[in-house]
Amino acid sequence: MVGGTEFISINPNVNREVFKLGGKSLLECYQCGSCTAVCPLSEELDVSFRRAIRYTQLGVEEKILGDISPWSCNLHGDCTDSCPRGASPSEILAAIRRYQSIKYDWTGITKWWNGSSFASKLVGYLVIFGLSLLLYFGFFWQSILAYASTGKLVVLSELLIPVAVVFVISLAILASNGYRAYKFMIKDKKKEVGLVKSLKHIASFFIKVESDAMKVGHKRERILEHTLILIGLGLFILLGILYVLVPKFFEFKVISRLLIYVASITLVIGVGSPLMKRITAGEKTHWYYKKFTHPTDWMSLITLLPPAIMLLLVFVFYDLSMLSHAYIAFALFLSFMIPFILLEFAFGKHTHWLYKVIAYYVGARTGYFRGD
Amino acid sequence: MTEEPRIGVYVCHCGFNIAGTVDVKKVAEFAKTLPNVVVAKDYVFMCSEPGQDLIKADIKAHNLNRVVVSACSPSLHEITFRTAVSEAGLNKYLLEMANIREHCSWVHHDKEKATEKAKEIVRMAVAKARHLEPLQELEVKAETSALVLGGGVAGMRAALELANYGFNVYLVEKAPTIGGKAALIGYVDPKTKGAEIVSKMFDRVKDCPRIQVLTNAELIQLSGFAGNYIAKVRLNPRYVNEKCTLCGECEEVCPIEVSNEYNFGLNKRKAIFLPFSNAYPPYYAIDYRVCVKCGECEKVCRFGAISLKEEPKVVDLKVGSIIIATGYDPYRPFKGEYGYGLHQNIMTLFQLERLLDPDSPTKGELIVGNKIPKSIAFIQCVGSRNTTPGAKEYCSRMCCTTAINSAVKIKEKYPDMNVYILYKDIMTYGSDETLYEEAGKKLVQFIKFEEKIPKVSITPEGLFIDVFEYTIQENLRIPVDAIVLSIGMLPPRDIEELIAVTRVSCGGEGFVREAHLKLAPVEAPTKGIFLAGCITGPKNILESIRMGSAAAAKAMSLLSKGKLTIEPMIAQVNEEKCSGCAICVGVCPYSAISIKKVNGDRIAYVEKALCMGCGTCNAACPSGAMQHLGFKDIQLLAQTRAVFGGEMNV
Amino acid sequence: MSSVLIVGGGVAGIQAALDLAEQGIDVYIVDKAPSVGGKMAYLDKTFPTLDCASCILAPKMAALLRYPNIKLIMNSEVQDVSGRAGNFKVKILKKPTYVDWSKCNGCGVCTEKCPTKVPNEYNMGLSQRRAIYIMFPQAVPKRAIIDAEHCMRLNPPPKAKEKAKGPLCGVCERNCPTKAIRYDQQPEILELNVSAVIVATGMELYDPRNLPELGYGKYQNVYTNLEFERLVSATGPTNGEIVRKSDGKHPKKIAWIQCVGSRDIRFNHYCSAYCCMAATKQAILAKEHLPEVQCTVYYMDIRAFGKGFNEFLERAKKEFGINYIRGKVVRIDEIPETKNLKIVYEDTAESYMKADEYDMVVLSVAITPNSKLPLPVELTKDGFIQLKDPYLDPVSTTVEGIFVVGAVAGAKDIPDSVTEASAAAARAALIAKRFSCPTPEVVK
Repeated sequence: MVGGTEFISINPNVNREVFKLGGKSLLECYQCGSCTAVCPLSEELDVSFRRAIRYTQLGVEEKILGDISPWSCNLHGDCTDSCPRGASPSEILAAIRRYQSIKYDWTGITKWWNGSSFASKLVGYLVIFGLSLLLYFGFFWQSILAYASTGKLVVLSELLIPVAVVFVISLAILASNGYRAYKFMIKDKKKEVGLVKSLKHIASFFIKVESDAMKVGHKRERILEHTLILIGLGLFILLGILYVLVPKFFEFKVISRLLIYVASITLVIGVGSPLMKRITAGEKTHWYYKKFTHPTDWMSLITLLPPAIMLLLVFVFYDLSMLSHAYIAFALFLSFMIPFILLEFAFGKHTHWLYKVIAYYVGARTGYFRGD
Repeated sequence: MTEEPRIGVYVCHCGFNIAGTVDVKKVAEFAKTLPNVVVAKDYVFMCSEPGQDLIKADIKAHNLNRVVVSACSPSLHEITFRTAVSEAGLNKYLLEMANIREHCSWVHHDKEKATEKAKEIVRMAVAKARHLEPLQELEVKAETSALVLGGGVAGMRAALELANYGFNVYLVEKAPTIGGKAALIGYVDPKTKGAEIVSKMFDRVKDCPRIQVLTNAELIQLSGFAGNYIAKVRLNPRYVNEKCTLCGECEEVCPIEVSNEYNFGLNKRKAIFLPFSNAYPPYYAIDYRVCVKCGECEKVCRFGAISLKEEPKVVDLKVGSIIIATGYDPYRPFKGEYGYGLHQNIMTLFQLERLLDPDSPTKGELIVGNKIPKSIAFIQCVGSRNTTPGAKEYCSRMCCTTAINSAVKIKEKYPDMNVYILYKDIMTYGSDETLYEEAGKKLVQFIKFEEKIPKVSITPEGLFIDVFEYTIQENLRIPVDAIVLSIGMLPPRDIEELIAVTRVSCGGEGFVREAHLKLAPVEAPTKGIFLAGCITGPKNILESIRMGSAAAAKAMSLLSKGKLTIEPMIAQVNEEKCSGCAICVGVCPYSAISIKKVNGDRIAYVEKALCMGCGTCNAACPSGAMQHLGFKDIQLLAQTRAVFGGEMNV
Repeated sequence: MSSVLIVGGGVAGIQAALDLAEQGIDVYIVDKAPSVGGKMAYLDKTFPTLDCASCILAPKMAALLRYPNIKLIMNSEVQDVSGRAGNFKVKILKKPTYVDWSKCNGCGVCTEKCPTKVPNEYNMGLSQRRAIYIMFPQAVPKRAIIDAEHCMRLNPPPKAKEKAKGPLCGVCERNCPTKAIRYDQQPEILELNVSAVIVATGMELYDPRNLPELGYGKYQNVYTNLEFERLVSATGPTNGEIVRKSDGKHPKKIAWIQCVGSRDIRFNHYCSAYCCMAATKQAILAKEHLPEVQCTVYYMDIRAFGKGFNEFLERAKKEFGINYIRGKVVRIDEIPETKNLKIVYEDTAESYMKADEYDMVVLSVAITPNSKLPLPVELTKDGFIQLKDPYLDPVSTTVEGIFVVGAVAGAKDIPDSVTEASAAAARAALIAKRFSCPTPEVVK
């Protein structure tokens, strides 16, 4: 080889780690490029999923961490349908994402959350949940009883402080991790594109890709589920903001209850539907629900379900004038929110929104979109 | 020629095949005008029963002594018409074919011009026919026994096949054991050990009294021709006889130590040694090339199995056919080629195969440099596909499959080891593709390179491979503990001697050339010599074995009747004209010509059974003494004159 | 002396027959086609020597006729094989050809006069033949056969049948100079006793319509490699002129797409072994026919494993300037106005999806074994005939006395098939001649 050429050293353990993170078929890939070629995103984006897989096979760490392609993936699954080796590129890409998020996270918690078994995740979750229960049903119990005796639900109080603290800490960690991810991704700069143009690209890209995907049955199903979760979570956040800023809103019974019911029910359906499909997976179930059964997939859904149900119960009880029940449900709701935020929101699969946004932003700004 | 030629010309319509483009009636009319033509006719299908009957009837009615059939290519129907004329009592070589189909009607559209051309073709044929002579076929008695050169899987297979058929076989092997390279391959496929295959074959060879195994033997001279070869075989001394009980005491006392070629140099062996545990014949052997005859072994042997007085012997074997199955040599990387020879952890694929064999110095453990490596990399195409300046252009066919097979085996045994295969193209053709699939499932890592070949760096920190990975277009530096060079195949080292003795020829890549690459892959151009296994080029074990059977089939077909017919259209010497210049001897590709002294004169002599009728000597002969029967100068000149419209009466 | 049945008259079957017949053993060749020759008869030239296929095959085919102990049973299928090595009973269905082959001499008059034109299978439907036809000019045996489905006489269109009073057409019967036409010929069952059977049924091309994304059958200018072979062949539908089906123009850019149906667990796991070199050869032929044409082969691994293959590949690259791009083509789109084709793939050296435009695309289609036979042999999971023990008992199936050669036992090229054929001939001859191993005579 020519003297003076820069050589990248490799980390031979990467493929084992990604294998453990769910990329079981990683080394079955023989690099034909079908996944890239068949992907609807390739029409718009100059990315190579195959190359991301090769980087991972060989352990070219610095390239893997800067690769935006796993984050650009929308898990539509055309690649898995057309893989000649029967490997599942979308599953591998999801595993690569887990690996990337582990590396982006400086705290090391993602490493545990993504890498550990389902059982240890559950134990971790339950420990935090247990501590939250202790907090609300021990430390805050007297104040809860006091609030319950007022006959009013809408109170802005110290009860929220633990959740707020956890939330702020999580946001701070996410921000720092996001910045690290950005630094990795921006390295591989092709050229520079203006901000407005970039945003336009991203917007038109999503409209085109998702509307195309909506035409296909199994993709539509998953997009709908995802959208339900997005709507539910969005309403949750909206309700949270209203709760803090305009508590009076909850006195407008019809509109506030409607919002609450919609938020909870969409979330329960959006989470319950894919959960049920995974549990009852049979021959006719789309492979997506059979393949995406990594513990993090389960946890991302499972942790969302109890807070959604509890919130619903709070208002059901309240409207039935079962005030003490409503307060217990409220305390439970908060107890469930703490582990959700602390684990899933800050370190789990839910972080993908952040990395996706960064990846698309970097991609758009550095000329990954076609037609520049 | 005493008899005046009386020629009958028969023009075939071949349905519309000829008649569609050539006016056959006009051609027949024209033929009638040619000298010595007694009768000329046309018919719709000359090759049909009525067509042949027409010729036969005319031969009798018109007392014809030459026949010209103007129809299709002689390769199609010459035999048909020869049979017809001989049935009418004429020598069958008094027939001449004029090809007006392939050479005329099929390649032209203009009927008028095509008809003119057909006339010219007929005119040429008649001109030649006037000079035709009756010829006689020769029959020689043929020996059925066969000599199989090389005791590898291909040779053993051929020998077994022939012996089962009832032919006696001499299996001649240079080494002290048969088995060849296959015996040394750890695993030939995921389930099969090379040693197992050969020992099962040994059992069959052992049980077959028609096979005589001659080890330590070399073919030193070959004379004669198909059906009647005389093979001079030198039997080098083994110094150990069948009394040997494999106790191994002799080995301990032997003072001579040399590199063990049966482990591809992984360890040393003594001058008295057993090639491998299940060697056949199952006796120790003394390497006559290195033995100093100190007599220690003879002293220590309790069974009287060793005799250092043995002398080389030369035997003459009468055989009908020769099957060459001497195999290949592994490519010999030069010192420094991918670091070969510069570091103990850089080995060849063959050495790795030995390591993985339970019969190896490490008992099947992959131990290099005293420990089990954490990572190992195979570099493919070493010595093949033009990778390095010394490399061959061809693909060695078996190395990808063998390397992947070994990689899978290593992964099964040491799941935590990093196994890399650096390749140009993975050649797991056919059903071997499933092995490539399997390798992925077993987590073998593949790295593709193209024109830029990988570079091995030996540093104090260890071994590194620098490679430009094609599918990510990056220069990678891979730390490895051991490197396996997937070396290809070379023609055997002694192929020059083989060529000198058997007169087979070599292709550009250095392997023996077959009679036809596609349709006669197991036949040498010389009749009676067949080829099996890697002597014609790289093959895998299965293909070599099948080639062994195929070569045997060819020998059976040739000799099953116990006699051979020799075509009379061969070279003939006019002893009056021959000056003994020996030019013909040098040009003959089949060694059919020699110089003999007849009444004190040096005269060329053609061995009829060897001559294949190529005509080279005829063209080379300066005095015109060498004539090709059926294509004599006078016949060809008459034809040539005719085509240029010359006077036909020469 | 007993006899051997060879099922399939391709190059492997022919070779086995010749090797056996030379030893004086009686041989029957059964083939479902009206001529021997198999797939090789369709080829223009062969790799890596660029020998003309029919020039090397035709003499072998013709040689069959020279042996009185070789019987050709064409247009027939094996229906049942029972018994065991040394004594198999074989039932063969001889389908009617509607021509008395003992009279027919292949003059071809009937094929010129027949009024009905149908697509010619020999040219992959790219040209037309008549309802009575001779399979191809070099056919062995060269005999006419009536395609009953399309024959006006045997299968008249209902409307014409109603109008007509007597039997329709009959042109071939009237014109046949040897009076060989037999409209009333019936299927026949032949029963043979043979001592060994050699299966040489070869392969069929995998139907590329199973990969609808490649648009074969939908887009006119997408060809299979066998179609292209006919197109480039001097005896083909255009006499060797490479023209597009859509507009009859010479293509300027041709792409070959490898591994269509091969090396793909959705279709066939195995590598078809012949296609890389076949595509290389076809690209060279295209260059020879149209020097200006640009040829590109899309591949994943070039399988240049055989003798002379890699040299051939290098020649294709250097001497003929054939491009090789590493990437699997996943989709072909037709541009409606020009009928040009856009092929979509990832160039694995450049790492993003590309779409290249070509005016002709050739699919290097996988092979599938013709192994659905009424024989008691076992198959591998890929559908090839299972070998018993290829190391110790080469070319033997799981049934003693039944041997298998050629592509039906695994994808392979011509030399390997021919070698196997001879190997099987050796093994079958042993059974036919009833020699067994330990005989008292010992060599000295």
